[in-house]
Amino acid sequence: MSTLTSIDDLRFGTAVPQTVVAEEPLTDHALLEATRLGDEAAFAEIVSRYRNQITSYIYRMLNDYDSAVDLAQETFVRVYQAAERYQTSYAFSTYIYRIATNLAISELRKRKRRHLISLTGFFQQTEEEEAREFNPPDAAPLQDVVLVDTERRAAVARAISTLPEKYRAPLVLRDVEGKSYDEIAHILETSEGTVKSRISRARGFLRDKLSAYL
Amino acid sequence: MNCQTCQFEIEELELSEGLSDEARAHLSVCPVCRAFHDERQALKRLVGSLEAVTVPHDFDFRLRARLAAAKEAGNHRFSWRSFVASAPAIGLAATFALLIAGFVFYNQMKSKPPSTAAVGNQPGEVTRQETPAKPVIQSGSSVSETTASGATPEASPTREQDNPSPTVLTAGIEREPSRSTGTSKNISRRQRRQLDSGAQPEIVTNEAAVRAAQQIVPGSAPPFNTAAHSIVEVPVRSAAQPMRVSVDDRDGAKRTLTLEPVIFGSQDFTGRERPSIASSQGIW
Repeated sequence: MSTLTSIDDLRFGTAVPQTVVAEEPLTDHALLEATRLGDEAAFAEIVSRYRNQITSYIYRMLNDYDSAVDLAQETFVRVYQAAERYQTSYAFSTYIYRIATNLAISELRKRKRRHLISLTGFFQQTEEEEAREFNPPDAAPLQDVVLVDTERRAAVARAISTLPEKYRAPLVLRDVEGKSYDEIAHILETSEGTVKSRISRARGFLRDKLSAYL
Repeated sequence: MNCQTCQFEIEELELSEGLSDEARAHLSVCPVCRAFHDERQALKRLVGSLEAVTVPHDFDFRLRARLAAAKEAGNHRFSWRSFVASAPAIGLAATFALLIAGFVFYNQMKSKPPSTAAVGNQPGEVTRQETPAKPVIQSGSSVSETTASGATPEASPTREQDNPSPTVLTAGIEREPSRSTGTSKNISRRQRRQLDSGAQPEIVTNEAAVRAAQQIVPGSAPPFNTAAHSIVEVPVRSAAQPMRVSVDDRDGAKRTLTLEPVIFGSQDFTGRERPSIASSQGIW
């Protein structure tokens, strides 16, 4: 016995078809094509697919959640505005990551120009030393493993945020986002060899900074 | 396989791939490469352990607002093409008005006589010369006229006949051509307009010169009495520039006197260079 869901189902004298056709999810290109034709729902689907990825990626680049959310929204705005000019030469994920990378790098350069002074910087010993949170050492042993993990993740995030931007982007794309070398090369608009070289250098930097956790 | 090749393979290993058999065999016998492999694996795990962040709940709402604002800004952006397309009558009328204005302007420019040409060389007429940086004061009985620009009224033959005085004193202020300012150009233009309209050129002089000028009728200069008017007052517009006064008689002999600027308050003792902060109105 089937249940009626709408008034249209009450078709007297005709059998109501009960077969459910499994719809295959549209590709990103198809969604963007629909967006170009004015389908707002298609663009909402693109946003729902990529919003967490893009926000997370920008957050790893900036180490600032609010700015990451703001730039992720700016990324989608730019995708929407440039939908008519979009060309399906590469994967859409490459396209949107490229926009996000450019926005993140621009933000990093703006911050560098602004010479932001961190309050935690007052606790630095030397200029070479990285900034660290005001976290006075606690002599008591940590009992909770969660706290240890949290502290380790915070240390890794800080170490990544101190990398030069040209090393930071490929490392995050590779080791956090899990992109292939070819895809990273397209996102950063550089050669694959350069990407590999920069990732290797970035890992070298990280190894020095995180030697206590290795 | 050597260590370099093995470490190269470990470094560039794709996520979905595993080490080759050769690399594994090398790792089993090389402790250095094995340590390198373990270190890289630990580092990848450490970096990969970073949790992905999620967007706030109002992400979609804020994004919609932002898109709406971007659309609104895009709609308000003015475009000539869209304007003309939306109102072709207005665009046509504007184009027509521009064409008429251009035609009228062109006709006016075409009918205007060239500014550098002499108005006339007949006796009694004023001849204009393009010497904007050479104002001349011409004195009849006393100081008669002072033109601050290039207009140089010359004594006409009729005037000479009516005025048999053997001496005609002409005092002029000659400024350096490179120091000509926009003011002199403006005055020249204004005076040129006055000449075109038939009016007398504007006289800029002191009170004595004004009184004397009122008695002068063009074409009949009164006799010049040097004894009664031994002092000729010459207005100086810029004290910071040297003034040259040329005195010539009717025989063509000409003498030029150069008067150095007298500056009060900030006299330059280092040389004859003008102070760096100097204007035509004074020195500060």
